[in-house]
Amino acid sequence: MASISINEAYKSYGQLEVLHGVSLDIEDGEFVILVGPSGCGKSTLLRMIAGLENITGGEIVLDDLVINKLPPRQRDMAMVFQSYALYPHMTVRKNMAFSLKLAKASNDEIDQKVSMAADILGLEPLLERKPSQLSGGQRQRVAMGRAIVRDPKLFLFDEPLSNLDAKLRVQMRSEIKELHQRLQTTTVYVTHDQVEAMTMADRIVVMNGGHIEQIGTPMNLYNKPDTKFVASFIGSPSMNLIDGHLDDDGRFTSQEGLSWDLKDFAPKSAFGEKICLGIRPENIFVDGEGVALGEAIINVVEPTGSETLLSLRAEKANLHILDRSRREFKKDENVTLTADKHDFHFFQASSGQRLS
Amino acid sequence: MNLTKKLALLAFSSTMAIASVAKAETTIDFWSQPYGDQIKWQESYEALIEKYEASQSDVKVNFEILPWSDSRTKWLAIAQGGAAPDCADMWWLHSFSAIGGDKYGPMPLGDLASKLPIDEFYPGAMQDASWRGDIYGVPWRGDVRLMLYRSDAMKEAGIEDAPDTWDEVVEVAKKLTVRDGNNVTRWGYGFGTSAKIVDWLMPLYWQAGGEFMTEDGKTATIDNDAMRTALKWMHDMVNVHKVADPDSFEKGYVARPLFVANRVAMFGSAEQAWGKRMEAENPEVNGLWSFARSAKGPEDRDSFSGAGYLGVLRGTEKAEACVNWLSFLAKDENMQALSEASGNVATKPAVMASEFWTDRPYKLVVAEALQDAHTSQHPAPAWSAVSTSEPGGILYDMIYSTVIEQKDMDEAIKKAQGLMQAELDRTE
Amino acid sequence: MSEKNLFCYLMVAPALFLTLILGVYPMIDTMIISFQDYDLLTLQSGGVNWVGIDNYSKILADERFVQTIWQTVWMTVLAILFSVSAGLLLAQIINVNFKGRGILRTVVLSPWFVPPVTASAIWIWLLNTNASPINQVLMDWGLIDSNIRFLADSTTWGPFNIPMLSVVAVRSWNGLPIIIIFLLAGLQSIPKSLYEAADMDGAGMFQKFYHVTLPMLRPVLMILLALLFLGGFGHFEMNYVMTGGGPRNLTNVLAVWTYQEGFQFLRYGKAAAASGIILLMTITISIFYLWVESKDNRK
Repeated sequence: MASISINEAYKSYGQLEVLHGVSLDIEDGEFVILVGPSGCGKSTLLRMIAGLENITGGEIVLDDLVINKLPPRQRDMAMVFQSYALYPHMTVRKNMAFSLKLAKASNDEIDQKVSMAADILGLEPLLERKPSQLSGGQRQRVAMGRAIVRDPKLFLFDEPLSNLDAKLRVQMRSEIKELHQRLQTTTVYVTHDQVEAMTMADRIVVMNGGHIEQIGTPMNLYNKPDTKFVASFIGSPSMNLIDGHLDDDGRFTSQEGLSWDLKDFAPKSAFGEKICLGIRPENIFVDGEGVALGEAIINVVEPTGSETLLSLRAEKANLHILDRSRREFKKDENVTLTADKHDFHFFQASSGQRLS
Repeated sequence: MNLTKKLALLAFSSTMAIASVAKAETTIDFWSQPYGDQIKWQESYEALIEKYEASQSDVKVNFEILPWSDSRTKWLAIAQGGAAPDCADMWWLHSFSAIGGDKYGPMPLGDLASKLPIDEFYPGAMQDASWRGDIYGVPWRGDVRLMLYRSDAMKEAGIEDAPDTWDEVVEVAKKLTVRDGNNVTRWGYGFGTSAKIVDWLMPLYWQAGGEFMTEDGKTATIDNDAMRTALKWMHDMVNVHKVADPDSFEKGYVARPLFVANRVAMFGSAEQAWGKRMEAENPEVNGLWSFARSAKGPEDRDSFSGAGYLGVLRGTEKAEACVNWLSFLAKDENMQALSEASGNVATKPAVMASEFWTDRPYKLVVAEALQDAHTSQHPAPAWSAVSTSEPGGILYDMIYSTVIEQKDMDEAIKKAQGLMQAELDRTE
Repeated sequence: MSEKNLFCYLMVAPALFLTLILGVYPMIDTMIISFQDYDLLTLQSGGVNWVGIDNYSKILADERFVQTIWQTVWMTVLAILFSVSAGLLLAQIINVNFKGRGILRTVVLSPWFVPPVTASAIWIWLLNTNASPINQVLMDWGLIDSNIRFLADSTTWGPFNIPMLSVVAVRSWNGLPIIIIFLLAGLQSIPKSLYEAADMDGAGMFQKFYHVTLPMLRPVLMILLALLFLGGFGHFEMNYVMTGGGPRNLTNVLAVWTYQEGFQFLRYGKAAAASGIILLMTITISIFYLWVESKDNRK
């Protein structure tokens, strides 16, 4: 169990700076997920916590101890790699026992801990097999078993589910979450998949281009994204973002010809500004009640059964709607759109920051 | 006329032309090992061939160099039936004849020998081109080995003349040996310049009055006092007087750089070809070395001597043409050319009296030393196997165990005698 | 036969043909000679007789020959030990990206540019008792008080002696490049994440080497060792050129003995028998290698 603080962490490779002063506090027992697009620096940050990368500037503090200079093996952390990194020439049992053997634990202790971990993960029948004889999901579990056995202060996961097929991924997600609930070990988890982040995390850290965009609980990030980036990143299908201008009378106009009256609820700071207006597909209704959004013509209909994704053309703009009424739509149908006044998001056009 | 007819006529007339040319002349394949610079050697022979072909129109010569690195395996293969030239620069007549028998290898000239100027050669040299009563060609090079020393080292030690007897050699060698603490910076004596240690024993044994076998080549004669005298002398030079380097008996010992660097002051049996080579390649030591006749042993002052000869190969159909070519080469002026180009001692008195062999003091000494020459070939085919200077060789082991391992000499000699006799019996 | 098969046979035919003519035929011929009394000097007059295993029993009764067999194996083992250990170390160093790596790589691969015979000639000079720069330096530093006779000192300490160690050193030096190339290729195929996992598990440098590097290198090492043993047992040049098998037979190896027996003493029968012994030794290695490989595949 441990809490970890990252203070103004910088990382450069030669002249290239990839992390620009990142700060983050993680509580004991929390499940924190670092999420963001490729190259945003999340894996780098994770590896810095592990000790596999050097820290160019700033501090990493584990339970009040600055661990910048400590080598990985002295940090009491366990890591699950994307490629699992199982020792190919050792059996599952030996893989899991390896760290304990290095720590010179007694054979009894090793057997006991390995059995326990194998029990939790359902690995008993596989203990004498070698990694090459296991499926992807089984290897993933062994990698986790290897981490559990050490009972470390911190679990680190580096995109562990990326190599699995979709169905397995869904299954493993809940297993990992369950595991965390059971063991209560502080966990830092990296993924590029926002669905994983949303479903598993206590708190999410959205990163972009070496910066932290926003830290918050899943619902926080969903309901009140701080920046345009977070707004479009979190939530699937992604939020509709429209660039335009809100005049002093509260009328929003966009280049594509949209013209909406938002006077009643637009934030004061947005009036007279160039803004980016955001509204989620699931928050726009066909022939509903609320703020009028005008008429639109349906372009593409994608039914999934429980919901239907519609692409529409309103004036010259493209909008996406997620309809849950289970109504059947047809292409080129003309519909009227509305939305609830609480569901609009206002971002400053230049900075992307939330206006409220 | 049409194309087909033209081609037919062309083919016909060229065949006729070739046939007529072929009938008129023979081309013989002649190989030679290189002596000195390979390219210059090739040029020397090409000049001789030009002269020859200009003087007559029956025989054309196709010349090829046979590198020393391939030479022995080549001759070995030829003696067992491999592809051979018509005639060549050859050696080891006795061994290759035995191996080849009546089928392959060197060919006795029989009646054709009368076309060669046999009488004009040193009798000793002719020994190397004859076997069991037959003549096989003409000797062309001699390799006489005599004493070589650093005159500057001698002067430094206050010595006027080269040592003349075995005892004087010991005295002089002691004076020439220089030590620095535990290391020897200059050895006073080296047995020989050749890397073959059996070649060192041979002249010493003869100088002590011994011969290796009977004249019919059937009985080994090395278990005697002369052998004991020779071996003891070698032993003492290394272990008692400590003027000779024991490491010189090991493979990988290279004599010339050491002599040039003045780390060895005197060689008992030095190849005379070194004279020419040092003049050409080590001018920095010009004037600092001299040759002298081999030192006198208890009985004789014989010097090691080997020769090469120009001969014909069995299986050739152009023996007459070959002998024609060889008789041309045997002429004084041509033997002279070969001798000058190779730096080897010639096998005809006429050549040794020429200006080339009298224009340097060392050459005069060499010519003088020819009278001490004792051929190193022996009339037994197994001699090459007996005398090979490789560990496991009969004479090699005898020398090594006595001089370096310092084991019982009588035992070593007795063993060698037994083994050598068995070898001579091998080819009966 | 199908067109595809015919094409394949045609493509393989030239190489197969050459191997048969230049490799298999001489080998069979030599083996036949090893059972004959094949003396070059009596070939024409006496012909060739079958003597069964007489040649073999004669050479095995020769103390010098038995010593030579032992030395062939021992020198090969030593040379492999030194060169593979050094190779492992150097390959790992070269594998790390540091400034000046290119220079180190060139230096380490330089023995490759020198053919063995040339290398031997150069080393003879470097190891010459009186002229060796090594002796020079050691004397200047006061570490020795008389020149080391690298190729001529016949004092022995158990199975060791200076000339043998000198020849082994030169053989190891000469073999380094190919070993390093092999190992480097093997090292570069080990995923970095395995080392990181070991780091996290608490492994130190030596433990990472023992538990990750070595097991992952096993296939490459197996092939390399097999090749080195096969080549080592038949090695000729350096021993022949540098010491000719001496002093006192201390650096003699089977290939040199065979050469001397056949081409100096002109006794082909016994030389062929010695070759037969070499063949037996290399067959043993090959069988052992194939057995280990099949064991792995069965798993």
